[in-house]
Amino acid sequence: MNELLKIRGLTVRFYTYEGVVQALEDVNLDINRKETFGLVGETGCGKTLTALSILRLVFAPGQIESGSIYFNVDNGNEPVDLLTISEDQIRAIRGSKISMVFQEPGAALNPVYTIGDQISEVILLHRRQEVAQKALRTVNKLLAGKKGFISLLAKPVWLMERGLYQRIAQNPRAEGPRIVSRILLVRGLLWRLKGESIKMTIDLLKEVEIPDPARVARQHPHQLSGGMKQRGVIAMALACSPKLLIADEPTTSLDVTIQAQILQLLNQLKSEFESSILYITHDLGVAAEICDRVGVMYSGSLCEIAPVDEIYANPLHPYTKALLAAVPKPGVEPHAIGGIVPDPLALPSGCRFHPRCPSATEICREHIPTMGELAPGHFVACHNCQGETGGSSR
Amino acid sequence: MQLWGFALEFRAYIIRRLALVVPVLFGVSLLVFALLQMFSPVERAALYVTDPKQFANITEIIEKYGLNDPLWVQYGNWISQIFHGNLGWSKVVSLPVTDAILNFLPATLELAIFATPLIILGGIFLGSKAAAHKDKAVDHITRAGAIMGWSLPTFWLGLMLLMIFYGFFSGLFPPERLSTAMNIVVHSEAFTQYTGLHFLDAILNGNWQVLGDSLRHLFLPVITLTVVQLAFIMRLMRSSMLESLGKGYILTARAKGLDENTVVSKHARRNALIPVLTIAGYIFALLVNGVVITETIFNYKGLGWWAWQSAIHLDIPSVLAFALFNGILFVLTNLVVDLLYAKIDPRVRLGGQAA
Repeated sequence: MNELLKIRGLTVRFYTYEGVVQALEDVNLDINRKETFGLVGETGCGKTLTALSILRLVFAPGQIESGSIYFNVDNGNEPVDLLTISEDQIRAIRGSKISMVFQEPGAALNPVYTIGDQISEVILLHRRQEVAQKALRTVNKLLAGKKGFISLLAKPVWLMERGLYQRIAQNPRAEGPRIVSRILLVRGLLWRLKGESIKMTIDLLKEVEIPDPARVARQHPHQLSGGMKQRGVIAMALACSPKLLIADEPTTSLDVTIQAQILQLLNQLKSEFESSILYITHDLGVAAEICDRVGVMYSGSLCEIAPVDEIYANPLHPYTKALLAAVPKPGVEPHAIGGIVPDPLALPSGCRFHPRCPSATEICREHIPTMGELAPGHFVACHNCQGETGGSSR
Repeated sequence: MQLWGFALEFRAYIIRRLALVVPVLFGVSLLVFALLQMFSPVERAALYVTDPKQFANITEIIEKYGLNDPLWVQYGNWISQIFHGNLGWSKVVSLPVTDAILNFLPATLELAIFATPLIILGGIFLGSKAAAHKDKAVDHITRAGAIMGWSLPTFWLGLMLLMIFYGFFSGLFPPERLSTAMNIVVHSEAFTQYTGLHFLDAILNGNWQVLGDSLRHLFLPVITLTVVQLAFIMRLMRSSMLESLGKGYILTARAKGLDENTVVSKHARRNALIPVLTIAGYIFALLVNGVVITETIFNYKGLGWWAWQSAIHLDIPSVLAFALFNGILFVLTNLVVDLLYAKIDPRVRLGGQAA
């Protein structure tokens, strides 16, 4: 079992006043362990929605109609279907096993809390036991320390703290500490949790190469540059060493030099944390740089999946070809794709690309093409490519 | 060290904001003074007349108070009079204006002290509940209630409440501030008026009868005020909260795995409070100013009632003093609101020296 995530037949619809929007239609894709899977396509083709479906965060009026998303938490264990598990279970996975980096770091961070507050929140939520153990060690050290006047006074408090931390270390959801954390003043007894989590946050910020992490942890988002904010968001996503990191156009709003740094950082962290990355982008150049495999999406479904070298050297689907031809290159006039993206409320029959496809035939208008493996690891959903393995790139 | 730096930033903001109060208050005083100049010196001399007999030597009064002097001299005189606590004579209640204000303010404050928390906290609570359960039953009910509350004219609601709770359940919640018997108790030797706020004085004196009576009288006007104003805050909070809930950081918070309660009360509410705070400050100032209609309907003699009486009796000194009080109150409320802004939203603290 090499797959970490298997999406099968994912269908998402939006029920709007104008009608039903078929936002995702029968999406199938696999993400392997320790691989970077690139999801490319035009704006509005459903890339982000696929990512949100994985976290089960599709917002109203959107609704996941059918399909399943199998996620293999630990090697060997039975994979779970993220779409059928309980709300508590999916919350335990969000932010710890699967986390997400968003497009706009400025919008993704809450302006009224410090970076440290926002990152430590994840640590306090998902790594509570670990934090409590650290706090426990500190308290034990204090209790074993030199006896003096101050320690005599503080001892009862330390003992109470120790009791609470012990309980959390055994069971992060223990009732006692949870009640304590809700009572004003008394919850001050849990202050070391916050302190320890801030220390862990600072380590994380160091990991994402933020200079002077202790200072940045105390700053608010508006005091940082876009690149620094995105590093903060990445640190937040990596706080629990997730199995899958979803990066939704993380470099789109940054300038080119910062973009290169962030890409490098993601690559480096991926090997360090042994995570898989689902990298969403509309930039084929970026995808070529960072991804192992690429899936091309058009109007709510995938039309081609192939290893990254293969897709650039030998694109088979007419849409992929057109997309590659549209990439601006120095000295070459880019080819715009003819026609327009179909209205999601009135999708064309058959293959969704046929009105814009130069090689469309009668069958394309009538039947939705199915995904077929034309070369090892190279999947295409096109009536005209079936059997044609040696299509030339333009 | 850094924490100290943060405190410095905040302190600098507070000092900057406080320094701004002085020119604004100066502007307010100029405006009120300009109003005063619309009257002839003879009319203005009436400011200082306490007895009709004094009208015989009106020219002397004009001379004495320099009402024919150049404007800037007059302004100086007027301001120094104010600083000495001399705002003129209120014909309506036959008291110096300063005493009149001190007399009526506690009554209005009493209303404001009870109504403001109900309005603001209630509005914020209901508004965020409605937003968190958008298009569900809770939302529909609170919204329908808010529209009704906001559309009810104060005078109609007040009269209806009186009809039911004073008329039908005879005397359950009566108008005025105190019943006659309790009024005698309050003004007796044994009862010390520390603050003029009856309910507070009653607690300080340990007189539970007066406390109960005072609360009974406060009930209807407070309810009337709350129903109308709460609707406003609630609707504002709801829309502000909905906007906040659609922001990217809410998606981030959910993607972190936080439960819905934390997402709403920690991440969305604090951002949604900012516009609500402005209106909350405004409503508080409005309430302390005296609410003319409510006070009139319940025959509850507070600042609003006094200002209204002064206006219809052409009691110029009182009206001017009321305008000045009004201005100062709004300036101070705005100051508090601005400081709270800075507390809630760190971006505000940077002010002019944004990095």
